[in-house]
Amino acid sequence: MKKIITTDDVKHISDLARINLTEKELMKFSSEFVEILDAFRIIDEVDVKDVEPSFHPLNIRNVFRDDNVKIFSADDILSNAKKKEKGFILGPKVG
Amino acid sequence: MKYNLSVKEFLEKRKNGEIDYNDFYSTFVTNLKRKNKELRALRVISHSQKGDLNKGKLYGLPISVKDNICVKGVESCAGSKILEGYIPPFDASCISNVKKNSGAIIGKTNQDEFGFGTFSTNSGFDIPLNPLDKTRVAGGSSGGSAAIVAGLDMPHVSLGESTGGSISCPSAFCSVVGLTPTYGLVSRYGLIDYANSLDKIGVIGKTVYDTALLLSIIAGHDEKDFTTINKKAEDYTNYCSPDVPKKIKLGVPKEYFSDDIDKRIRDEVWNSIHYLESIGIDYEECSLEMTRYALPAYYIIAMAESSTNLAKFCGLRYGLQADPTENFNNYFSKIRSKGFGEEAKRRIILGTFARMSGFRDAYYLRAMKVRTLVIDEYKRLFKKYYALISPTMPIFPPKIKDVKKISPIQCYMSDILTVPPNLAGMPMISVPSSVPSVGIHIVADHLQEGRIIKIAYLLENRC
Repeated sequence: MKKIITTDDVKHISDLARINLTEKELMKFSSEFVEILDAFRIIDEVDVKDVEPSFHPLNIRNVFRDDNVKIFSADDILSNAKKKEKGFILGPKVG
Repeated sequence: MKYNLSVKEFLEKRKNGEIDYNDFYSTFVTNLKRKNKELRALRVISHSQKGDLNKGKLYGLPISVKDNICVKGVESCAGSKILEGYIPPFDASCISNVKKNSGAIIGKTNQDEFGFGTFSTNSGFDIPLNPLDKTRVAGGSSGGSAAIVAGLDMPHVSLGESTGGSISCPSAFCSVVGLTPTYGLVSRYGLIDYANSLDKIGVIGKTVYDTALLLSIIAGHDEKDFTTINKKAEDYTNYCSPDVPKKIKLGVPKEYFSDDIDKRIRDEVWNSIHYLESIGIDYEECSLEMTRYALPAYYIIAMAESSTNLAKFCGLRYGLQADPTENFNNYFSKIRSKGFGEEAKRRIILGTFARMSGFRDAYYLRAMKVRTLVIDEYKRLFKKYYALISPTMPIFPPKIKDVKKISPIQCYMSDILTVPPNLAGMPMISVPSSVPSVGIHIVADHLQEGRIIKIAYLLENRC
C-alpha cells in the first residue's frame, strides 16, 4: 500500500523543485494529486516479480566515440544570455 | 486556388520546372498568414531557408516545425513562457536533414507547453483551433502542426513530436495523417526534451505519402544522439502502393473497443476493418490486457523524466531572465514559478515525488517493470499479426470552452489508446476515416514502419 501525498509533502517537494506555490495552488494540487496517485495505484495489481525494468523501449547499448574536442562557438553559447561579463554568464550570488 | 496541389504533384511539377518558385512561395506565405490568423496554428512564421531550393528531394517544399524542435535562428520555445526569446544557435538533426534536401522551414507551430497535454490548451502562447470546427480543440500536443496541415490547401508537411500520443491525437482530431516512428529511428538531437525514453519526432501530413516522404528524409542514425538505431536508410514511399499483402492478419484488440469508447468511433473503425477484409486482409480479435496498466506506468515515467529535464530551466542562459539581484535559490524559484504553466508545475512536482527515496521503487521502478510487460505483450501479438488496428482516440475533440471542466486525471485518461504503443516505442499511424475527427490507428512492431504505411495507404485510397 502506497502512501498518498499530503499537503506538507507537496509544499516540501515544490520547495525542492524550486517552484513557489500560492496557497490556492497548494490546496488545488494537493487534492488533485491524491486523485491522480489513487488512479495510478492500479499498477500495484501487476505481478512484477522477476521482471527486469525497461529504461528504454528498445535495448540501448553504450556507444563510445573518440575523445576529441569539438568546438562550439562561445559567442553562440552566450548569445541567449542577457547578463554576461568577460565571456561568462552573470548569475545571482551564492548564499 | 492557384497551387492547390498535393505534395506529390508539387514535387513532380517542380522537377519538371513547371512552377515559378518565387511566385509559389509568396502565394504560400500570403495564404499561410491568412490561415494562421484564423487558426492560431503557428507561433512564428519564418523564412530561414537559404540557398538553392531547386535541388534535393523536397524542391523547396514548405515544412512547418513543432515549437519544441530547434531551428537555428528561429525562436523555439516548446510552447513555454520560460523559453520565450530563446533563439537556438544550431539546428536539430532532423532540421539539418530537411534543409539538406531543400525543404523550406516556414515556421514554428503551437503546442502544449513541453508537450504536456492532449488538447494544446496548455500552451504558454496561443491555443490552435480545429479547422473542422473552430470552437473545438485541435488536439495535443502537436496541435498547431495538425491544424495548419488540415487548414491550408497548399503543399506542405509538418514535423511533430510524440511522447504519449502527441502526433496521433491531433491528427485524428483534425482528420489528417500522423506518423510516429519507432523510438530511436529519428534523432532527438535538438529536440527540447519532455521524457527522453519516450520522445519521438514524427510527421503530420495531408496524405500517407506525405508522411512517408518526410520520414525517409529524417530517419537514420545520428552520432549526436546515441539512442538512434543504426539502420539502413529506406524510402518509405515505396510502401504507398495499391497492392494488397498476401496472407496477412490484423489484430483487433478488444480493450480498444470497450464501452468507454464513443460508439460512433467504434462503428467507424469496424467499417474500415470490414473494408480491409473485403480486399483480402483478414482480422482476428485479440487482447492487450496490459492496456489499463500502461496508462499509469506511462504517466509515472513521463513525469519522472520531465521533472529532471525541466530542472535545467533556471533563467540564466536562455529564455526568461531577470536581474540576478537575489540569492541563487530565490532567483531560480522566482523565474521557474513565473515561467512554468500549471500543468508543467503539476508534472514537475508529481515526477519529483515518484523519484524520491522511499517512493522510487513503488512508483518509478515498478512503472519501468510494467513497461517491460507491455512491450512483451506487443511482441507476442506481433508474432501472429501483421499490425494492430483500433480507434486513435476514444472521444471527439471537446469544445475549447469545456476543457477547463475536465480534471487532470480525466484528461490523462483520454490518452488510454495512444499511450500503450508509445510506452512500448512501437511505430504507429493515425489515418482519417470517413467521419470527421475520427482516426484509425495502426500499430506495428519495432521498425515495421512499412507495414503501418501500407495499411494506412490502403485505407486512405479505399474505393
